[in-house]
Order: sequence, then structure tokens, then C-alpha cells
Amino acid sequence: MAAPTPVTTPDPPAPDGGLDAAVRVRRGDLVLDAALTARPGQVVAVLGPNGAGKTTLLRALAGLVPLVAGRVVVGGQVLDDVDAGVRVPAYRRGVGLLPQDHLLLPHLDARDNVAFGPRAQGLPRRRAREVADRWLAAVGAAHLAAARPRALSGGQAQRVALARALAVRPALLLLDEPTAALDALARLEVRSLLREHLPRADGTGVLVTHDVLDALALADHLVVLETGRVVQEGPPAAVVAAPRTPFVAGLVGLNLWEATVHGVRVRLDGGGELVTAVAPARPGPVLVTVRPGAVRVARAPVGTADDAGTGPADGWPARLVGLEHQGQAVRLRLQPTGRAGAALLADVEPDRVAALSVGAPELWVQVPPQEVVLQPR
Amino acid sequence: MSPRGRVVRGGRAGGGEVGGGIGGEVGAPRSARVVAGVPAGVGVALLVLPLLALVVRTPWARAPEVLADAAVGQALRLSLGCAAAATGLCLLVGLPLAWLLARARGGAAATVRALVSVPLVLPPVVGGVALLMLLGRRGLLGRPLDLAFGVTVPFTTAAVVLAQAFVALPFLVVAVEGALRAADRRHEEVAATLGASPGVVARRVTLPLVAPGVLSGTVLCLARALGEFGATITFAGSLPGVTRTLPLGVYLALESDPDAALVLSVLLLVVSLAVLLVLRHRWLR
Repeated sequence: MAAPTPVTTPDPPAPDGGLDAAVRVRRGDLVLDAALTARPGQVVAVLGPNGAGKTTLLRALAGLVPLVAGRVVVGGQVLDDVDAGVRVPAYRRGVGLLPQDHLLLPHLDARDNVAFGPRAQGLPRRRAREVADRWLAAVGAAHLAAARPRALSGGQAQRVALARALAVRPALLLLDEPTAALDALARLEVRSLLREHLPRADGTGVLVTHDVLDALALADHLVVLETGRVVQEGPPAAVVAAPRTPFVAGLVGLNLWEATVHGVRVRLDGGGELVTAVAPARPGPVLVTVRPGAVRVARAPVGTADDAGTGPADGWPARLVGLEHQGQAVRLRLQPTGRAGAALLADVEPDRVAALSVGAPELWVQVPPQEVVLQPR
Repeated sequence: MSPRGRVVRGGRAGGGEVGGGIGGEVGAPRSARVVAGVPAGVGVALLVLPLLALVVRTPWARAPEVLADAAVGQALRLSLGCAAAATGLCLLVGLPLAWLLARARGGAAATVRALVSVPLVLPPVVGGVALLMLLGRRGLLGRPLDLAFGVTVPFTTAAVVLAQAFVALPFLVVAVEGALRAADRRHEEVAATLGASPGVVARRVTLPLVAPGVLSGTVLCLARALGEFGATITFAGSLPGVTRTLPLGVYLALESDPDAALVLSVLLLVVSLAVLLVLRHRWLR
């Protein structure tokens, strides 16, 4: 393997199976224009803010909204091809959907909810119920078979809904924020359940989420969707380590700036300057990321022996605008004085908070050059 | 001293009493309840007292004799049969109509919805006259039917069923359309992803989801058909054994034998309540 590069290319299309989709969908003001590929057995996570078009993407793949343009191929079968006039209806696609709020049918018990798919596919009632019982057991919900959805907790209902989606053995399983509506404990349960059942030899998964943990725990590939477009994709760990948009940076708690580099000097587009330890080969526009834990905060400028530069590179004055717990540390939100732009995050030891925050109108922040991480933009 | 404490002390004598007073005034203040209570009581009396009077004045001793009359049994059977047939007809055409109205968008749907509601506000007698103008021997459709097939609709049992369906259909359509609009359509979408064709979705998802609406619509429809008078007597007449339903029988008996009319009225009341209770019970299980 080569050294991890911040910009990763998607896996090549899989003509032999898996998912190969390029869709354009109009939904009100939003135009969704996204491509997704995955090999059989892979799980792709789609991460994005509300209104980015995540759910619309899933609905398009499920055949619930028409494409304006594009193609969807699942397991070698063409489900949509606008140019060729192909549109396979939802009920003939073999594409399963696990919605956020389970949507179990209220008039059927858990067993008959799971048996619904096998029944719709033509199995007699008794055989369908046997299939349902097997899937309920597989997701650890055998004891809930006779319960009505009304009587189930959120986590239990989501278990049953997963069994229902898997019982039809979909070639493509779509998961729409499956843990978002659950409380913290149920979220852990359902996440580990998905971890167990999602990688399937016979199918591909697409997981929509705005929880980075879901993506890291469940997905092989991460696609970041913003305002209908893919803004970044790659292995989840790589995307999280080197976010390219403020949305992802905010989710993973990294400082991110657009900047221009000349030698070791990094001039931030929003104002201010940093110094990097390793000068890139070519000058030009870059994205800068800095861990909050690497930012030094003091009540006054501190000269450091390893500083490569002088003047503005020695740090900025900033105002403390917020603080919150972050694991063992306290995360300070600092607004550089004298200019606009995003606040800077800095983690400090809890015992230093009082010294920093009480009676200090202005603090001084510095970023050590070896902590300034650059990626081309 | 908190501002709240001062307000409390200024308002009433003791803190405990104030708490009790506030607790007693949850909802509406007493004076407002009295003001609203008087007309509300009149309203309840308006609905209940006539029925009470009916039951009190009914000559119960004559009841077995009246009910044993062959004509009464005939009218009762005719009433139940026609109302059931009319309700069946309404379900047959009303469910698809309600589904289309609930799913359609645009002006055409709004127009159809308004037209469907007309019998709700139309005097039933006018409905009967309108049916005559369409299906009467010289009606728009009745004349060609008579000439071509020798079929005449008015003054037949079929006319009773049509008259009842005319006045009862809107009740069913309005109730079912409301239920369809309130149902979560994503259930239907998930069912489709599980492989359910539109027909299976309609039968196994949509219909069960709107079952309460269909049921209450059916009850209203049946009750309305059972009580139908104006359109029936205009369009179908009052032929014993053919078109003389129980409400028509009550009206006629009022002239010849008022005691019998009272017994028949109570019978209709009991049948109506039974329909309501049976369907409610089935729904509540």
C-alpha cells in the first residue's frame, strides 16, 4: 500500500455484480447528482447534512422516485436506464429498505411483518412464517414474534424491521438513518446488529447517516453528500482523517481552513497565517487541518524555540466564545479577534480552564508547525 | 422575597388555599362552564328527550301483536336487505372513488369531490325527483332502457337500493378519503420494496391501515340507508313487500294505527343501535 493520500478514488465499477449507479433526481429546489459504486458484500455509507439529498438518493435507488437522468445497475440487472427507457418498478427490484422509524405494519404482529415479503414473493403462509421465524431468531428477536409493533421498543422494532428487510434477500439493502430515532443504548445494540448482518455475500448495502460512528463502524466506503453532490469519498477512516468540507470537519471535530501555501508559510483565505514544518513541493491552494488537541492556548504570546517563523506565524489573539466537555479534555471554541470566519477549536486540560477563561478578555492561540496538515485542493 | 410569593400573598389569604383554587380551575373557569353548560344541556335534551318520550309512550302490551304482523316482518326484511345491498354497492364504487380522490391532485379532483358531497346537503326528496328524471319511464336514461330492453327501474326494489345508495354514498366516500389521507404512505412504499405488487399493497397494506375509516364510513352509510325515506318514497313509491321499507311503514301506520307506528319506531331505533354496537364491538374486538 502507498502512503495514505487524502484524495481517494472510488472503487472501479463492478460489472459482475454489486451496485453501479449514477443518478440525477430533481426534488423541489434540490438537484441530486451522484454516483455510487460498490462490490457485492460491501457497505457504502452516505454522510451529509439535512437536506443534502441522502434520503432522495435512497428513494431513487429503491425506485420510489423517478430519475431525470442516469442508470442504476444492481447485481448485473439494469433497474433504471433513462436513455434506454428502462424503469423497473419498486416491487420488482429486489431492493430492500430499512427506514429510520421501522414502519412496521401496525395491524400485523412481528412474525407476519417479517413474513410479508416472502408472502408477497409467492410463498404460502406457513412457509413464509417459517422463514420469518428464522430471520427473527437471526436478529435476536425470536421472543417478539407474536408482539404487535405498538408493544415494541424502538430498538426491538428496528430489529424486527431489519429481519423483515433481510427476509427477502435483497441484492441491495438501503438503510435510512437506521439508528437516528433510537436512544443511546438501543443505538449501540442496533449498530452492533447491523455490523453482524450487513456484510452479506449476496448483497450490497447503502447506509445513509449523519452519524460518523455509523460510517466508521459499518461501512467499507464513505461518500459525503452536500447539496445534492458528492464532495468527498474514500475509505471512512481516510475521509474522517482528512475532511475536505467544513461539514465533515465539524462532525469529526477538526479545524479546517482553505489557504494558500508558499514554502512553509500558509496564508489562510479568511485571514491569518500559519507555518508548516514540511513545505509542499509546489506552492498553491491547500486545505489545512489541525487537531484541536494540537492547538496551544495561553494568556499571552509564548516564544517557542522550535518556531520556524516570526511575526504573524507566532499566533493570533482570540476571544473565548464557548466551552464543552470532550472526553478527558475541555474543548474551547475561540473566535480570532479582528476577523470573521469559523471559530477555532482547541482542547485543553480541565485544570487549565479556570486559568484561561477567568478574567482574560483575550487569549493567544498558536499551532506548532509539525501539527499543520496540508492537503491539495 | 420572590415576586411570585408577593403575588400569592396579595391575591389570597393562604398559600394552601391558593393551590387548591388553581387546581380546581384547570380547564375552563367555573363561570364559563356554567354559561356554556346551559345551552349544552338544552342540546343534549333536544337529542335525548324525544327518544325517551318515544320509549315511554310506546304501548308495550301491543308490541308482540304488532311485531307478529306479517307486513312488519316483510318491511323489516326489505329494509335490512335493501340497506345491506345499498351499502355493498356504495363500498363497491365508493372505495375506488375515495382512493382516487385521496391520491389525485388538481382541479378535476376538487370538482368531483364537490359533486360527490352534494347529496349530503340536498333534501332527499329532491334526490328522489332527480333519480326519476334520470331513470323514470320518460327519463334521460329510463326511456332508452324501457324502449330497448323493456326495463323500468322506478317503483321496484332496485329503485329503493338506488335511492338509498344515492343519499348514503357521500358518507362512505368522505370517511374513507379522510382515512386514506391520514395514513402514512411510506408503509405502502416499504411494502413495495418487499415485493408487493400494487394490488397486494392495496389489499394487505392500504385497506388494513384505513380499516377504522372504512368501518365508520360503512356504519354511517348503512344507518343512512336504513333510515332513508324521502328519496325512496319519491323514486320507489310505497308498494308493500316491494318498496315499503320500515320508515315508510312507520309513516303510513301513523295515520291508520299510531300505536303500531310507535312500536315500529322503537324497532327501527333498536336495529340502528344494534348496527352501531355490532360494528363497534367487532372493531374494538
